Amino acid sequence: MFEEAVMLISRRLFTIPTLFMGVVWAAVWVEAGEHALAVSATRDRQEAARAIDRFIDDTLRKKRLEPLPITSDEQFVRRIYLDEVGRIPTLAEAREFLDSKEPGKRARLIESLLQSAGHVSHQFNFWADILRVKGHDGGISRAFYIIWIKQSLASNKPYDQFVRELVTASGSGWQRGNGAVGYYFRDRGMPLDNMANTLRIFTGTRVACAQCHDHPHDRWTRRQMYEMAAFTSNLTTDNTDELFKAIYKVEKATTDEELRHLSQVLRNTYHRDRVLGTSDGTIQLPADYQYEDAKPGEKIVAHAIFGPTDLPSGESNSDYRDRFGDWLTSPEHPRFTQVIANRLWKRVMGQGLIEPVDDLRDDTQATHPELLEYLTQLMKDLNYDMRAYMQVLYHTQTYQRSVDPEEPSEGESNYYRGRLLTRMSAEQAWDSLMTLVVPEVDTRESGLSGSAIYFGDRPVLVGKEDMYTRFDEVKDHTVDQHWEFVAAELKAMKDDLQVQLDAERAAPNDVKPIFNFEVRASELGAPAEPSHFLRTFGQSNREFIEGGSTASNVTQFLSMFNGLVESHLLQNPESELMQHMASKDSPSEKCDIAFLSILGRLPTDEERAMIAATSATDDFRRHQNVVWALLNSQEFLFVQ
Amino acid sequence: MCRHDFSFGDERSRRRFIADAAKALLGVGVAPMASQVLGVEFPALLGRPARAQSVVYLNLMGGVSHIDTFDPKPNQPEIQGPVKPLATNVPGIHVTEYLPKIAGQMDKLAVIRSMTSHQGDHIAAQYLLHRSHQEGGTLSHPTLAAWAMRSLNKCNPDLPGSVSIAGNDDSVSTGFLDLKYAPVPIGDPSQGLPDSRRPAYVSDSQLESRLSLTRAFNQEFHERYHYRQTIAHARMFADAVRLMRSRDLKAFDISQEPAPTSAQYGPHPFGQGCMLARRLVEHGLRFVEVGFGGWDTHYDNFGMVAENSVVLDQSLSALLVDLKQRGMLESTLVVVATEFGRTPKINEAHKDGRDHHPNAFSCLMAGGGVDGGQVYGETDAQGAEVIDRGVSIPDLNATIGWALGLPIDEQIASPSGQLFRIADEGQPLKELFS
Repeated sequence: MFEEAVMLISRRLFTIPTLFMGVVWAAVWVEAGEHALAVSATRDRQEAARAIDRFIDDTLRKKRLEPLPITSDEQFVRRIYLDEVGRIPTLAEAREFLDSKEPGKRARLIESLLQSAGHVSHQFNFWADILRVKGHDGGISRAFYIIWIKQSLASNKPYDQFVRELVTASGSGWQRGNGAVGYYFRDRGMPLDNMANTLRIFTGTRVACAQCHDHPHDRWTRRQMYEMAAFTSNLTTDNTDELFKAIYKVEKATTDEELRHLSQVLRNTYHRDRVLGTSDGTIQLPADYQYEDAKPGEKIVAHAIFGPTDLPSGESNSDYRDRFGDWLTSPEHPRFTQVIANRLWKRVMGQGLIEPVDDLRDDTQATHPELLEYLTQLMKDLNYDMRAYMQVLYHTQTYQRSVDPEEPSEGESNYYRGRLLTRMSAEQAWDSLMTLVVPEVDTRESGLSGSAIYFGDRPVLVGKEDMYTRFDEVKDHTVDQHWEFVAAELKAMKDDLQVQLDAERAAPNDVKPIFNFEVRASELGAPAEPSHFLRTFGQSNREFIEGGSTASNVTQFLSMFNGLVESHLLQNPESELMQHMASKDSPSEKCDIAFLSILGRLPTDEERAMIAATSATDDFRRHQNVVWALLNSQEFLFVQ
Repeated sequence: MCRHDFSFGDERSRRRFIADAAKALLGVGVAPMASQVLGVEFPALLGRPARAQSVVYLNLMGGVSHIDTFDPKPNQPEIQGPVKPLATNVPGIHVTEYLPKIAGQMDKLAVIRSMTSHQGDHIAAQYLLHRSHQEGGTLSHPTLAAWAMRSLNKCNPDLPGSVSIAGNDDSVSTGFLDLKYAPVPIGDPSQGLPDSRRPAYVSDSQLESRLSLTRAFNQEFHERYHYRQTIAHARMFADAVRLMRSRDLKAFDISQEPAPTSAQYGPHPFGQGCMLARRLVEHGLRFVEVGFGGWDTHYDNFGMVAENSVVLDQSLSALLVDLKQRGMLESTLVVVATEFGRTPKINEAHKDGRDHHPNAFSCLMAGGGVDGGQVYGETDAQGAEVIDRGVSIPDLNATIGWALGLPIDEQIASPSGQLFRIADEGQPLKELFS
């Protein structure tokens, strides 16, 4: 512990002062250095936030740009909920914050939201978009990967550990705690693509085109692509072992349709996809290798193409992936920490200090190089605690400024003189609408994801068996045991289904829906169906890294005009919004509820006059029109 | 359908076009000078009048195995595997046995067998396919569809000019061009444009009250913020209202097609998408892309190509027959594109899979003035390399642009001031046209 402290402090003292020429900055620095290990305390996080603001303000002064004022409470409460939790505040949440007279209420809200279930949901969408997470692959569930990511986020697993677990995962997905293998399954059979994705996501380095030839715009060669891929070579991600083949053989001869089908599912779910083998750090160049420095088909050895090249060997001689994990997540790695510091900065501030966040070249320039250096060090000092890091950023004045009325031209920065106006992501828009529809939206489950066993399109054997316990039962089966299990399992599932159906028949009025679709985006399919609201509004198809889009299109308007708003809100008296409005008698109070619920603020006098001026056959229709118009207004869809 | 014409939107864009054209061709940079030099003759710069009014662009995503579809290599089991060649209705041109119906329409098709690219990564290759440029840096290059909408008049002012059916993100992007040129995405063709009609219980006057209240609420927001996206958002609001009230909304409703026609296209989403594309083109849309994924046949290549080919064979042949019967084939350019080909080598370890192979692949064109029944270019005996008249993806896009009569030499500036052409350095394959 003591040695660590010395190392951290000395690293700062030796590396950072060269960055700061001014006396003021040097003073700030010494002070920060003394607290190197204490950033965990709230006060120190506030101090780090002030330091960040000084970097920003200094640049603004140099650029002769006037910073915009701090945003109003009304805009702040909506912004912070959308940014930290991924949805608008509920009526009660908005009121509680706006009515509070306590000093420091913003800081307290920032901290409490980071600990909430809603934050996990929102961050899941973020990572699912980066990692291209899909719930199924050819009909085989990948729910274990989704569960693993959510649990990692819920426990605030340090980022370096999160990444290390992804790239060193082995074994089966339904082995408890082992869901990280989903990372390799996502690029099943494509080890070069997988390595290219890994380097892009975690080191911001694009080597994908060096799979076939030297990179045309960067310095990476095809040989280097293979040298990196050698770290994860010799793994298999699809299993065709004797058991798998033997089961398959019997299956083909089986005439019982149900037994055969269940056997297929079990075989593919538990006996096929595993990450097996250990990487010995060698790989063969392809037959069409075209450069002078090696022969086609030649065996070459793993070699880190940048960053720390003397790889920590430790006890990891057996699997080269361990060395790769060490290299990738080393605090000495020149890009690993910087990429996540910049990525989360963009997540909070709306624009990256480097854009795009995942295409670093030797000549890449940050808009604020010293700040990026500071943030990179901050991430290390916080031991890769992503929540603590974001908390610091949310505490800054930079974050809390009003929106810049002018958009910088494409590829330009406004140097954070104010926040940029952004359209809600697809997930934010959906989750915000759901906030108006159902109570307790952050903890509502769909019944779609998770580790339940499904039969006849519904969960069965709940509380007795799930995908994890079943894996433990079947993992060491022989062929005979497999078939015994299939028969017994089929009977157990059928019996349970019958019990459920009998219960429903006996009390038809108590039947609850099996699935619940009015839940947050993170609880729905990954990704949602192509025709779903989420996809219409630009949810990623999870084919491309960060493939989501916030561009407007005509179908989004149609959906808001005639679809979801009608079916889930206006025609649904059970919805949160309609109930809250119904609880008030006066037209003016009903309007207040609508404005507070949808926009997080009360109507202005002008707006009250506009409402009074519209023609409507009765008050009921008038209030429906108000809700409709607010949800279709830009102020709803854009985040100020 | 409408007369072919250029739209410059406003006088400023027209002047900018003349200036750009002048810069590019004459080395002058002053607009008044350019108008004097060019006078009324500037359309002559565009090359030739357009053949095609509209494009139906079929995007086979994942990388089609050319050897197993349009560029067979018979009598070489180590390359061709179990697939047999099939004679077409044009003597001397063969496809594979997977495509019997297309074989019967070969007289309408030009097969480009000499497509070649350097991009073997799906994402980057689909980017290149739509935009003729390599992805990289912060710049998002314009797509061909968006560029076409920038240059062409809408034939039907109520409907969107361009639609992407089951397409990927590139198919609905505009790059750095204005979002008003973005194709409207449609997921499921049988749903048409979802939610495009107001519920029966909402009267038109109630709808009008709602719309005017929304406009009133938006007023202050519009005055406060000046962002590309809020401006585009406001315009699309108006577009959506006009669309909802348009008689031509029925263009999106494929249930109005007679059952026998629908059966010709097939019950699958791609076939239904092709049928929707035809309806849309009939109602004046300019650029309709239909996406068809699942061609990334690393595993079990022959099983997957056979399965996909059933769908492609039925859908494409039905589209060609239908367009021909309606007299629309001459004015509609049909393009069948894919981002790259697949290796001649069969990967036995992956159930006879084929991996990415950008060096050589095949694309098709039909209609829009294309001479059917021809093969352009050639690959070597293995289907590995192009040995005759190589065609790059920019060349393919230049050809589409040329057929539509787009100003393919026009340079437009990105926000950072870099100049770009619609098809980069690509040259149109004029030989394909009669």
